[in-house]
Amino acid sequence: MLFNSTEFLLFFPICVLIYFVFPKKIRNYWLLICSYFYYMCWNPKYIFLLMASTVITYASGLTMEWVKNSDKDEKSKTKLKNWIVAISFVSNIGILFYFKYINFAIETWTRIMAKLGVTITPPAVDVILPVGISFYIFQALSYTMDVYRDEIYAEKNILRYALFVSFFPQLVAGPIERSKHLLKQLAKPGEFNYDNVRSGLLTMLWGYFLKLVIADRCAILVDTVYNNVSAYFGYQIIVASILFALQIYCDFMSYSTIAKGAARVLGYELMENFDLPYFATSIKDFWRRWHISLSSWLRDYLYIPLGGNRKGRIRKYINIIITFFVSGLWHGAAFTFIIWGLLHGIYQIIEDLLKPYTDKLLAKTKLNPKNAALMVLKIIVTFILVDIAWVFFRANSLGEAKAAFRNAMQLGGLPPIKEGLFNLGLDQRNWIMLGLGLAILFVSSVMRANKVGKVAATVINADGKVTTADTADVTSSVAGTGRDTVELSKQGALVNWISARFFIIRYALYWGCLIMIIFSMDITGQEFIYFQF
Amino acid sequence: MKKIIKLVGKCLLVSFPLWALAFLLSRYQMYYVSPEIACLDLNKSITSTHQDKYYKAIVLGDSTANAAFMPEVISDSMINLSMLGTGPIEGYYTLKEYLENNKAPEACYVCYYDSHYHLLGVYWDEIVAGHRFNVGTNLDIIKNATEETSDKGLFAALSDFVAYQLYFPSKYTTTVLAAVADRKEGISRFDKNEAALAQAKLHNGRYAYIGNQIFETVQMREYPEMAGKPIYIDYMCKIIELCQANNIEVYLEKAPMPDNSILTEQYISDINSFYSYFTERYDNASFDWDDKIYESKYFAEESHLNNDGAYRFSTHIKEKNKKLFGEEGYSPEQMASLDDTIAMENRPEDLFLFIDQKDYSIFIYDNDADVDRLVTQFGDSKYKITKASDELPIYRYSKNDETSDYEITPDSNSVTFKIAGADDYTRWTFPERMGVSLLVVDNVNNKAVTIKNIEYYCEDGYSQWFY
Repeated sequence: MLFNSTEFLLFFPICVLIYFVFPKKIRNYWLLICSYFYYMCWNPKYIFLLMASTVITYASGLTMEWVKNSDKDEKSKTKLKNWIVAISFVSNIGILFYFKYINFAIETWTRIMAKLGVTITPPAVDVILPVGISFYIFQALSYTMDVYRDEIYAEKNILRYALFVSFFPQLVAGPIERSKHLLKQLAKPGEFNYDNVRSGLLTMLWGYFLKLVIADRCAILVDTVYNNVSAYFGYQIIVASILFALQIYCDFMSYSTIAKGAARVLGYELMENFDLPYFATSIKDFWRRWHISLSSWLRDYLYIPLGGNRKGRIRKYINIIITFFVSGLWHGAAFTFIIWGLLHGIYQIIEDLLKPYTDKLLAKTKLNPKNAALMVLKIIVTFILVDIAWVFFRANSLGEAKAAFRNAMQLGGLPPIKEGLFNLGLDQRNWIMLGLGLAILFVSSVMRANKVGKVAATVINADGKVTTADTADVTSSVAGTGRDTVELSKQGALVNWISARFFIIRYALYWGCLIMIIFSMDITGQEFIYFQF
Repeated sequence: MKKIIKLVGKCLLVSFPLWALAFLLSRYQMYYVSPEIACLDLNKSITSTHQDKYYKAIVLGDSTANAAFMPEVISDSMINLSMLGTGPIEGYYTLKEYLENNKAPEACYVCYYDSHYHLLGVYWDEIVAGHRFNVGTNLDIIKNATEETSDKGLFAALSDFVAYQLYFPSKYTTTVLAAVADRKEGISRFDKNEAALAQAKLHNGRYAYIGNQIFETVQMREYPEMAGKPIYIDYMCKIIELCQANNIEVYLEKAPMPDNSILTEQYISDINSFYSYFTERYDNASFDWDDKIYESKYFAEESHLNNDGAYRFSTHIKEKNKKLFGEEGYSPEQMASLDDTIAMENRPEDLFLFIDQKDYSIFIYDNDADVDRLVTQFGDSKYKITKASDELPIYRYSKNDETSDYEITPDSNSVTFKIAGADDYTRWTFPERMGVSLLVVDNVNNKAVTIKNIEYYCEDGYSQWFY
């Protein structure tokens, strides 16, 4: 069930209506039923994988809690806990490996053997990648680690825990929530709150705008070029690559935005997953802003346990490469994704190596590091580097990625840009709509960057109660110190700004947005990109 | 409670463009739907209301049936209820609806292309989008044929149905934008749909592939086998059982195929087995596959007969069932329908075939040609040729002397032709090329139908085409 499908538009109101009609005691059970129903709409039999991951990590949490409270000595406790974590990880990663990577592994092994002169007949493994598996397994594993580190109590209520793993707004494409954040909230069923529902619905509207008006339109041109890359050259490849950067951002952000809005309607807050990534001034900064839930997961559960930057420079770089290798692999079972990930790792290493020199240069030139022109230059350079990596991400194979780069260099002999752009799948109407959509996105991004609009902070107390408070300084990082967790989220600068406008302007903006969405509905059937992960 | 009401009110206000557009979509369908959907309205109006006229024969089927069965040729008491892109599932509910509101016919012709025995076709895009059936019927279809209506399951199918019922814009945006694009090209969907509807009414339900396009191909196409899915076989049984309960004879037909078709032995065997499954189970069902292959010139495209092919097939149907259709003459409605078909004709041979045995006269202006040669080449020697004007070389070709009174008044290089009793007249401008000009007159409706010109090549006779 896609967010942009008629099933969801029927499912969501029914789910919400019944949720708030039910007594508080059983609300979350209804939400669990809805979440499982939501997942089963895709393919009923794969619900057992979700259940398996849930049961394994739930049991591992309880067992670790039991070990912690037992009379054993500390050494034995640690050893036992290590075993439990290992079992949880191996079984969950094993499920993920089988359904996502088995064919890739077999194919790679066959190729390696062939290069060594050994011919082997690979077994045929017919598996379908279950939707959302990478997301919910990582989410479940984060719970195991959090319990291991005593950052959270083991959840005793299996149904509440099952809801944490399967919470439908973020089940199939994130954000990858932390138990300290979402599980705590689920301890208390959501309450009907007029402001939350209003804000949530408007947030969903913005998400639909990003998906239907911008992302799906970009997809038309990107697919036209990238599905036949050898037939396109020069500006055609460059335009397609830039639009892919916008497509993947809007597509993924739209999912997260709709998820956030849907959760807010139900009375829950999901974490921010994006923070203006294309306004990043360095690759390191980019990864603080892009797919925050995954990058923070990898930082907390892979990079830091490997030693992070605490074991010397060489080890730091190795850890970076490993982390980004895993990041690439997480996205897909193909070398293009691995190269994409490794490229980002290499970017970070080069950035780190060059930092002393760039700092010296800045000091010598006496340029203010926050100089506007310098910031714009940094943003552009970062975007170019990121977009180069996106070419690997989007290309159907390494050969096609190579062809894209080669063909992009060929600048002569092409039709004039004005004429050529209309031969890439988008007609004049669609270009105008796309242009408008991107202009609106840019304005809203600048507003958000300049913190325009009233900003609210969501505070989650130790007992899971959610409150809001105004705050002047806003960050988007997750503190996660084991004490009261403070999640500072911008409740949409654009939504807040619009809400403060005069009635006529507000409704003109809402209606304009909705009309643009309606007249984008002819671009049908586009799945969310991150569904394939 | 106050806040909930406020919230609901604001939601409705914010989503106002959605509901406004849905309202406009529901009210002004003729301005954006395709002609196929527009004609579904006619189909629905016939089956869901009582018709004063009794039809002793009805046709259920898809576009092949809609193109093939010409009620104007077969019988004034036949109506073609077939709908493009549909299969036995829709056919059953069409029949059920018709019988709920009308007296049962004596015969029901059922004719579907092979593919409609294993896929649902245009159920969503036309049947549901065109609101052809009521809510109960659609829910029945979705419930009984869930796998056919949606590969995503019952909930997805129901959601889509609700969206269509509410005219949710996502279901209609593509069609609306296509209509807007047509408008920019100067094509009005409303005019097109009105014309299609008028044509469907005139031809008693037939509206598919009306015209004289010819299917041309050099590729042979093999038909290796044929099979039907159980759900469609079940619905065929339901059709026959419903007919049985209403004393209706069921004639299972298979429309002819073009001569580029290679019918393997397996295919022929499969077809015969498929249909004999019904004829052996039900006494009121028969299947007669005698007209298998026609030349390509009778087809508009690979599976649809054009006017000439439909005429040939319909004549065959009429002759096969003399018991039902007898030696009926042609009613004014049938003649009006035939007039429309004749006006489209582009070949003299076919025009003369169409007027054969029907009450038409052809007035022939001879411009240095040879009228006798014309009759020899295209006409029937049993018809009479008499002089129609003293001043001009105009002759009348008709099967008898009892034709409409007429007046031919010369006027420079043309004449005004007026039929006695008619309010209007026809200006008949003569061609300059050597040949003849034909003015076809419908003696039943007392009207001039069409003017066609044929070039004459002396020893080589007349051209095979009008100009």
